[in-house]
Amino acid sequence: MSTIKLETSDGVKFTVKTQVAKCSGTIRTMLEDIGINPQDGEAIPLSNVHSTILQKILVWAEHHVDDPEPPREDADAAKRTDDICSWDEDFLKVDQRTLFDVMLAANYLDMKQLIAVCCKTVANMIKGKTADQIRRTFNIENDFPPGEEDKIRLRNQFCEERSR
Amino acid sequence: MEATNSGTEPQFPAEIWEHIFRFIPGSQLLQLRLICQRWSDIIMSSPSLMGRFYVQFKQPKGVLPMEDGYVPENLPPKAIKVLFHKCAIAGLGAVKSWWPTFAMKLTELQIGLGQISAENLLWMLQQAPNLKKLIMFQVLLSGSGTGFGDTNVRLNRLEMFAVFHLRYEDKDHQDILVGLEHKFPSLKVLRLDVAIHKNEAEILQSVRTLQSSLQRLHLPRGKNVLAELGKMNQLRLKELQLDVRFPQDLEQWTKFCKVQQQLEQLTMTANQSEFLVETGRVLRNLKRLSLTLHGDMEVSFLDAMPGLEVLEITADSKIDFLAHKSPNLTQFRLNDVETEDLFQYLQRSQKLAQIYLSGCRLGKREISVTKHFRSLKVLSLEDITCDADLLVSLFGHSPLLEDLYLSWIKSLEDEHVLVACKRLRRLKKLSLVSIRGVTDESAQYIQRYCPVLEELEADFSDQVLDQLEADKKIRIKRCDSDWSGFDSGEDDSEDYDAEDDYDEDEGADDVDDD
Repeated sequence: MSTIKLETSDGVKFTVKTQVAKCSGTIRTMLEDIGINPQDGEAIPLSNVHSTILQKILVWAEHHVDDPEPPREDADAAKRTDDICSWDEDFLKVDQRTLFDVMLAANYLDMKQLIAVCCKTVANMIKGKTADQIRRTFNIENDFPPGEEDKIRLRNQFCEERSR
Repeated sequence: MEATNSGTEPQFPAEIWEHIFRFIPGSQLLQLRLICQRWSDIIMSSPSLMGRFYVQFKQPKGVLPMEDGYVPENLPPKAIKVLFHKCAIAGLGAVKSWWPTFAMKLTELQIGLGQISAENLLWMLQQAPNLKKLIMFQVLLSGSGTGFGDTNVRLNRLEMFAVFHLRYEDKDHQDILVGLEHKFPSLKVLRLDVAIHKNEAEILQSVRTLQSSLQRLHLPRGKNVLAELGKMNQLRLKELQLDVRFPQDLEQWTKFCKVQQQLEQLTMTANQSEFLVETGRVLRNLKRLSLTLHGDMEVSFLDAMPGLEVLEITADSKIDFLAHKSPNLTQFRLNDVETEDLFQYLQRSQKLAQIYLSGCRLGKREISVTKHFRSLKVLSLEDITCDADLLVSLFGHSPLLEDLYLSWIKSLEDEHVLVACKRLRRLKKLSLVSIRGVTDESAQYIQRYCPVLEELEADFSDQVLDQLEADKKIRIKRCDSDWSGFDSGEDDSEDYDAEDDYDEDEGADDVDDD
């Protein structure tokens, strides 16, 4: 079975099944288009990913390596977030910092399915919460100059979602 | 997942936030613009997020007068869809100062139940070069005006043009629909629901010119419509809406179908259905059929259409479904029909996921459902006359039901709601609207037996609804329980959601998609 080596930002080297590594669009492109040859034994540098996060991501990729391509969805409508499979749900039961680091790494590695399931998880942290709860959750400061919020409220009044 | 250690600010790039926001329902999405400047900017700058909203010009009640010098305040700057609802747009002066900057980015314009002069309309279109959809319903055109042929409007990106019930203030007004093929050269969807006795030849000329790009077509009845459509060699429609009369149209209709074998969706008004057997035989790719029928009912055509996935029948008569079947049906709608063997027919469709019945009388022979609906998720019964036993057996045989809508059903009482709550363990949405036999007592059953309910619409007393909301953390939609308000005369119901059927499977062609 063919394997390749990956090297994380903190200098840790991982030997990974090629098929699993190809869950990452970024690595796939490196191998297929740019022509990096893994047989050389040279590790592919992943300078934006820490070893603790890559380890986690490889667990996810190993589990999902045989997943079929997901169906195309309607881009405009709000999508559902209650369809996270229970394995993923358990996988993402981590502290918030780890979750966010996994998302950033998945984004860098271009792993669409992992990004989607993480985004759903974060969306569930937002859904139905008040503005104050949301700001607390994500440690966001209300940085609007005075009057700006009222303006947004008035502008929002112009907008309506039309659905049955 | 609950946040366990709050307070970590994620350093996400805008695209990740945008992706997250796509999962947030519209009402809350607008509120998220109030979290911080960055979130507000991300939401406003995203075409796919803003594409869920229409900037609406309207009054809470009555007509919005847009006089000369009108300037809207607090207009959202990056809107891409706009709706004028019951607006009386006077002269050019009402839009001149603000429309050009606002309209540059627009991809969709709807004008409904309003009034505008033809010159003004054409000028406004000229300022909106990115329009993809233009929808007008029940518009009154004022002024003398010219047709689309006489001005230099050219919207190369327009894919959909729909007009429903256009009226002219001046009877001698020149028809604005004439020459539309020059103005909208890339049309994929053309829906015309207007009288065309005066301009039929010109309209057909437009269709002829556009035939190689058109995919979806809705034409009113005209003398030569069928004959002319049959002559268009490059026309290959995915969807068609037409009014056909049998037997006089039979020969031309069958001939036309033979050329349009790729047709997937057909909406048809017809006087008799027994002539549709041949249609089914020829249109082998038909997946969606919506029929409005007058006169005798005979549904033997269903056996000739085994590929049907979506079927809607509206008829003011009685239907016997007999032994006919539709094995691939996933969605079924029936309106204003009397029948005695509906569920025996539906039970032969094992993939059925959604049933909508409205204004139907289900007769005495329809006693009970005996087999399980193994795929049924949505059941909507509105203004139904039937025996309560039938409802009870229906609830008992729909184990996967998630969405139940019940309204105006005289035979329904609290005890039947109890059965529904006990049997339907996966129910997420429940509506009990305007049902006299259902009282606050049903709230207890919902409280006790609906473990995963997320949304409830019911006319229980406020006190009971408040309590349900607090205890079960479900969304409550409060309905107007004022019986006298039933016929309030509000004409909002005329709202035509024209894009509804268009969007469903047209997504692949949308440029906004990623």
